[in-house]
Amino acid sequence: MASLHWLNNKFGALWRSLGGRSDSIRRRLTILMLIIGLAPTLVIGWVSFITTSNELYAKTVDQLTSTASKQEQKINGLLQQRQEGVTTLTNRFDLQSALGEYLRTNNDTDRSQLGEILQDIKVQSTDTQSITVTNLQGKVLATTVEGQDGTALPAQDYAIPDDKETAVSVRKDARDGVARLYITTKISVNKQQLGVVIVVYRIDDIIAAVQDYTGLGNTGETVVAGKDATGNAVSLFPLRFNTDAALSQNLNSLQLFQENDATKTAVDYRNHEVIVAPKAIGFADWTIATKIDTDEALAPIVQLRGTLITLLALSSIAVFVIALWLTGYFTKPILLLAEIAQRIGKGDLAARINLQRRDEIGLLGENINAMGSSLKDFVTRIESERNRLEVVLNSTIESIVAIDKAGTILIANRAVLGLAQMNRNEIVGKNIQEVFGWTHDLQPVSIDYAAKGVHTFNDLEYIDKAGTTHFVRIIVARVSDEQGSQAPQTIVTIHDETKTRELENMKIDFVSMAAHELRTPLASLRGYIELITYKEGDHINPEISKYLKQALKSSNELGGLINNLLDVTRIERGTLTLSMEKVDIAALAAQAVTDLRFSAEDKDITLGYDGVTSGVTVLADAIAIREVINNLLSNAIKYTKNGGTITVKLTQDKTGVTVRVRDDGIGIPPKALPYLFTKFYRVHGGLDSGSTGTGLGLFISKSIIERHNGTISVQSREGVGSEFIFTLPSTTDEHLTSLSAEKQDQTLIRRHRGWVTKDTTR
Amino acid sequence: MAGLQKILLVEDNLELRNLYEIFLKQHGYKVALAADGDEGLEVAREYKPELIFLDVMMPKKNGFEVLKLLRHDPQYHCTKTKIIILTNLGDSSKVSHDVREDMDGYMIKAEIELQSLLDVIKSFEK
Repeated sequence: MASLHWLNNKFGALWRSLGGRSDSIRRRLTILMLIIGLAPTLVIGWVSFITTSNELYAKTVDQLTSTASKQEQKINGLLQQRQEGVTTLTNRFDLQSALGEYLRTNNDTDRSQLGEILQDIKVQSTDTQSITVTNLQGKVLATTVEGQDGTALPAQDYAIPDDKETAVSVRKDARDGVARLYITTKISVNKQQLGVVIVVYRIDDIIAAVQDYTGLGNTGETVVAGKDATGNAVSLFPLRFNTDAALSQNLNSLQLFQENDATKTAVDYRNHEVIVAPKAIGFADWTIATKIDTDEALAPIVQLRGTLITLLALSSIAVFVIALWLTGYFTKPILLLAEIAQRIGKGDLAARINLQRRDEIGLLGENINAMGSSLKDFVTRIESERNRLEVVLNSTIESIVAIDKAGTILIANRAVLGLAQMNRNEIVGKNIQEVFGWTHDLQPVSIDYAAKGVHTFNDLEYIDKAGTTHFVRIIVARVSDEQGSQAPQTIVTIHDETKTRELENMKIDFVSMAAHELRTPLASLRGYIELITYKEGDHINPEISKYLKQALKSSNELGGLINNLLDVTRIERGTLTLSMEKVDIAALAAQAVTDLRFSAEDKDITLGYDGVTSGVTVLADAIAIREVINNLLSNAIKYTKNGGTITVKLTQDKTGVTVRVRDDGIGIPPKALPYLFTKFYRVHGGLDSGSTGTGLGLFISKSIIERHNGTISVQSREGVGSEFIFTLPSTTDEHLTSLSAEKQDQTLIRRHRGWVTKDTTR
Repeated sequence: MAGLQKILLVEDNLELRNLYEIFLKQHGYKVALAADGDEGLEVAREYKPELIFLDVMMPKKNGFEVLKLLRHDPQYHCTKTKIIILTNLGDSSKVSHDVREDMDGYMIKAEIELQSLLDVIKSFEK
């Protein structure tokens, strides 16, 4: 609504007081009520104003017209009276005969005779100012005016239009300046014009009639217009507001008489707008116009207008006040409700409203109060929940932070402060990337905190503010899809493994040291057993010999265990180094089968080899791979019943070499399969006899194969058998060539059983 | 027995030292003994052995130090002597390049069978 904006600008302050918003219900309702309340008054006022105005106008025109008629009759009467006087005069026999006599004789006596007659006539009529008789050429033949005899009159004074017998005019006497009525008539005898009679009348009565303003109010008047000597329309008599205007006031510009329209407004000589009623006075060629100022005539209308405007203003105020009150009655409580809702929204949960109303708005207020109460309960509950959570968070030893989607840390528990060696202000509100720079082997690690799901990052390092390096595992869990900032999106748990790792290292060191220390006495033990065998030779008691063999076997097993432990410590420390060289894996596998055949035969197990026995080259650490095959075969022998079958199968394709060790033994329970390659895991409930081992073999094997970029896996069915499969990737020739140069030193070393020398055959 | 007769055994462990001494003497070799690095160097200079079994983990000087001196210091007269390192280390890559150049071979102590001592000696007699 354009008017609304206009009002807004015009009465901004008042208007805004009707409501805090630029577009309020109260304002709209007020405008609506103003429109509804004022429209009838406006329409009725307008219609009655127009009607009354028209009626008044018509009445004024009627009145003017009737006044004009009366004036016309009056003036016409006065004129006709004089006209008749003139006619009587010209028809007088004595005058005619005297004139004729004088014209014939042209002597002074006759002229005096004529003059005397004129004097007689003049005396008979008090209105008559003077009587003059001229000949046809305007020469004064006789006159009552002294000193004019024999003079020649100007044409205007005696001329009569051809079509008329008489000319009527008002003129000022040149001598005394008084306006008078001149009636000029032909005087004829026997249809022969002898001369012209000019009668001058005083016109006080006509002026009096014109100046009769009865019924014309303060501004009304009747203007009598005629033509002056030059043909201009002039007022013949003094005007009400300009008494000097007679015969001089040019009325042409007033346009009073040029229209036939009887009801006409015009502008008069005073520049006032007037209503005018014209009327013609036929024979004198005059026109009269009765007029009155529009202002005066329509004054009641102006009054009416004033009354109407006052009424409108009063009713506007009344409607406005009522509208204010009425709209306020509805909107004020709404504003109050809005304020209370706002306060509740801002956290003032104790805010309540008491409207004291039983209507719908009152109901709304009660509901808002109830909502406030519920919210308060709810928030209290959440707060206590949060407090409890905080206690839990702070009492856990894991470091936990919650971040929003931008990575800003929202919550940090006590453990985090201890880990980072920072106070809360140095962490909360900061970006997690700035506070925690993770590294792995001192290389920065970037973590996608916004990734969905739960992600674990192991083996990271973190340097706290005090400069201490921590080894940590972090778990990044996206817990919410909340997109807003300040909303926890991801929980980051930092597990400080430094202590664990130290313990682990101590354990590894201990195991490593213990194993090393065990080797020397073991070597000694075995050596002395061998020494006995050598010393006694064939003389040895067979029973003793059997015992010695058993002792030697056990000490060899012990050596194997110690080696396994050392391998594990190397794997864990990451120091298991492989000597990669060209290895004929087929020969190596075939040899392993051959070497272990005796152990298998102890249990009547058939150990077979399926595949070529040489010519399959891979890049590998021969000893390590041999250890893997030995491990798999020992396990197979261990878990296969007497009389079973074990097959080692070697196949080759483009991608590499696959070695399968298959048995028809007791198999592996399905639930054990996932843990089979983990450290110290042993399948329980297997064969009791011979099921010995550290549970390290498969762990070591897996580590070795993976270090070769190969894979190791198992397929097994309980009671049917197991198949362990490992693969080694094939190697390109270039790879082999470059390696052989790089590792020349090692290829020079040739291994024998338990000892190594430089290869002197090359 | 052609060639090799005089063997020096440098080993700090008494039992092993005795074991290898007994075994080698049984097989007709002359054996001198030393229990640490310094003693090993001293005995080597006096005894002028043809083959040395040299332990690594020993007091005073370890086997690698002794190896370096024996090979490169003429006062010990051992620049051409065959020297076999006795080690507990299971993988050869830990052994430095220099050591590998200087030694004639190594034996992993835990895996030594007495017969292999003879095998080593015989391999140098060819």
